[in-house]
Amino acid sequence: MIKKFFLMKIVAAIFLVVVWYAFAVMNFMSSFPKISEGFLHDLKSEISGDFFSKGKIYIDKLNYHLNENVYMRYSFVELYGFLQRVMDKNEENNFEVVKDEQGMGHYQYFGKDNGYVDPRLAERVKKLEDFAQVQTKIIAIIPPEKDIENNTTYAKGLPNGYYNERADAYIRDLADKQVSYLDLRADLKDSSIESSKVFFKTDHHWRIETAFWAYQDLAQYLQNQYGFVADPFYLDKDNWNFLTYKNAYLGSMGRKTGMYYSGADDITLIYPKFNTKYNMSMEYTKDLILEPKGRFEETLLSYVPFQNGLDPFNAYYDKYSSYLSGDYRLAHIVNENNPNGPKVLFVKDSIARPVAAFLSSMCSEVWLVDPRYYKDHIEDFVAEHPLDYIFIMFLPQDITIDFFPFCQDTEGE
Amino acid sequence: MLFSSIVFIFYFLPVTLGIYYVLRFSRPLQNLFLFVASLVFYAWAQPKFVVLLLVSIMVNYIIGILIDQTKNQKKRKIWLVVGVTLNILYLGYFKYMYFILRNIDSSGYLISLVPAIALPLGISFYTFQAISYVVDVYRNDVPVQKNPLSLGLYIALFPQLISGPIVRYTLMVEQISYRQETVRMFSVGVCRFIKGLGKKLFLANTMGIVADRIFTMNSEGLMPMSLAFLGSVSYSLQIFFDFASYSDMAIGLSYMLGFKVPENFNYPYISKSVTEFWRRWHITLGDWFKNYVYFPLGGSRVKNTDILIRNLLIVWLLTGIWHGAEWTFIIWGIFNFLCITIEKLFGWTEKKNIAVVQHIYMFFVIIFSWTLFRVESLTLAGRYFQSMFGAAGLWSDYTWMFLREYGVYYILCLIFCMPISRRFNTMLIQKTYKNWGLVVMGFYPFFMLIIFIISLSFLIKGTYSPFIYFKF
Repeated sequence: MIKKFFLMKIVAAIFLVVVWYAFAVMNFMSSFPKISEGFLHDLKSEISGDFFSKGKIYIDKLNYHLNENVYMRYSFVELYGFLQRVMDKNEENNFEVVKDEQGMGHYQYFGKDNGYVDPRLAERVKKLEDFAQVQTKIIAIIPPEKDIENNTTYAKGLPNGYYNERADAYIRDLADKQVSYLDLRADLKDSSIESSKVFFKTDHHWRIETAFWAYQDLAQYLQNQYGFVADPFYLDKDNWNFLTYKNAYLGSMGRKTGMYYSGADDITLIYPKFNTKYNMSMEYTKDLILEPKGRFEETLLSYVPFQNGLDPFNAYYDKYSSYLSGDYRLAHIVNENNPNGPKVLFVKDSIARPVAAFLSSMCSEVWLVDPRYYKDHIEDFVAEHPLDYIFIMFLPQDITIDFFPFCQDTEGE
Repeated sequence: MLFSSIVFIFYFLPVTLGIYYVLRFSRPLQNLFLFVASLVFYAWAQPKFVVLLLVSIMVNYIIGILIDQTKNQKKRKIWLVVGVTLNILYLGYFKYMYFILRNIDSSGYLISLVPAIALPLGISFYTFQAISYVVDVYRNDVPVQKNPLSLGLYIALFPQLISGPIVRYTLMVEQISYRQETVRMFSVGVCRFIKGLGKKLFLANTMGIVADRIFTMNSEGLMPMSLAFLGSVSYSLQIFFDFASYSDMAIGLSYMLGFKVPENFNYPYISKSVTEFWRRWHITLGDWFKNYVYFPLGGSRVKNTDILIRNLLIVWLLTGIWHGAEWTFIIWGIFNFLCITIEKLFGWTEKKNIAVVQHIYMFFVIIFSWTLFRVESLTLAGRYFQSMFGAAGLWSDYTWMFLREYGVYYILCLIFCMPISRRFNTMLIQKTYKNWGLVVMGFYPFFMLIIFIISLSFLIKGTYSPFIYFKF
């Protein structure tokens, strides 16, 4: 029997070695072009330090490429997600993604419900008025959080970042400083949008239909508060195309967990039926500026993520990013069909992009500044550009000091 | 480079094994290649410390030659003392300098005078192997190694370079030149490696997620008793599966290369006493201290109990210090000493018919001692123990959440803490279940393949993969 026992080991070893080496060879052959391209690119960059420090840096870079380019990588991600689903897990990969009882994915962390937000945030928003021109109205917009009151429930004990509480504290501070704000969470309750349809299941962003509703709500708010001309033509859904792609979207959370764990979303592209003419400038860096021109769907919308045969796990092809082609330091949209319309600025994260795109139909110019990439002084930008409205618009989870880098130098004055 | 990494599994190991076996016609060439591969393995994590490793090898090589060539016994001893001292100073500088300076001068001024010191990977392990060589040569247990490459291979062999097992030179000397690679050994090695990989990626990493979360909560304040206990249990499971799996992989790799190395773990959590525990946990470290510290001090065969206790205290202080440069490790070592001493004095290990009591005793000793081992300071240890004694209440929703989310893993951990696979192998060989054994053997290869593929999914997906004993 001992012979049979070792025969069992030998057969197992043969299986393993054959599969192991076959995979290693396939991995090398499929990954080598990408690895060498990435690593050769890294070799060109200047690195300072002694021989060993440089060696370590190059090893780390090579390590990165070797780890990122694995044959059938996303099949393994799917397998992992499948196993988590079989085990009925509500968290995935060390709480990277947490699932609620409605099946929606969330980015959460082990937060504390202390209702605290940095008081400097509201102060900095208020201070922006000092740099803005007299006619400029500054409005903080608070989009809904994926954790929807009276709808979202979690299994007991799962971590909670208390983002709604953070947004509530921010609003209190804004009110104290007499800064205008629009709390979309409150208005959403009165809308006809079902709670389960506000956000994507597999992404942290709202659905495009929700963004369209937010655009309508914002326009109404501006009209009611400031006499903004909210032309009902541009607000009427019948004047917009709604093109739905079923089970076509794997959002940021879905790309981390795989479709077996999170499922896939429908995604709707919304773009005007009416005539449009835009110039746009997308400033990725000061040296890399793209300038598309043409209709809304040629300029403000990118069809690249909707091409056939693309890797759904590749973040570059994220379909939500089709609006304004993602996030970068500065965007400038000029609506040539409305030269006398208002000029607006969004200081924003990714949540604002579709709203800004829709609102551009009623504006002459829309600027978008993303504090994560824009390293110049935002207050100087505000001072240099005549604007009618400035919208400070971040997801509740981004209501943190990192997203409010403006007016730091005048703090305490 | 980690054993459980893409680079190692799909690049380093297949290439190294392939070339190693192609060079089978020449043992010297094989050894040279293996040595160079081991240096590449080491350099992948810390290129500059390869130089230190090579210096350590050369210094110990020279000391060995000097001991061998010196006929005068007194002078031989001097060279031994020089060799051991150099190794200890080398280890002490990199591992303990900041701790010593911090305790001499809490203002940090002395530390500011010393250049930044990073801990070379595996220094505690390969330095002990080097000391083992020097002492064994002095004792004439082994002939001196005249080939520096062979000594280098012994010290730097990549399967055990970073985290052991600490293999005594006497066990390796013949194998360096005369080992025999066989299909059986290779196969057992492959299966052992995959088993270790699975334990590391499923069990150790998962328990680590829970343990790290809970110990982080401890750094923020007191926590409910149930959560504190769960954290201790989780860490106890993490450290066992982390280290045991690494040893499995190291032993598996050694077998693949034709080296037989000693076992490092023998199901320590089934122990009924701390004495027994340390015969089952990190066995090679215990053997090292036994052979090079405890026995030279007289061991257990001493004139009176006072000397026995002194010997035990020295060994356990050194064991604690070996594990880390922090007061918690020293207290941990002393705690183990106290348990072992009390067990010896009261004949705990000879008592019969109290197995349940002994296991309950061990449960509390294990989680208490590992908690002390895990926390970053005595203050945090105090806080953690307060939590364990209910200072912040009993229940936490987090406790339920962790148990619910990771229940399957806890059950698997419990099962694999026990000698299930050993019992299983014995039953197969003894034909306990007759034809069913053949059926099981038929499925075994597929089972191992499934383990391998699932391990890859955890490896490729998982971003959390610490190796605890790398810190030492």
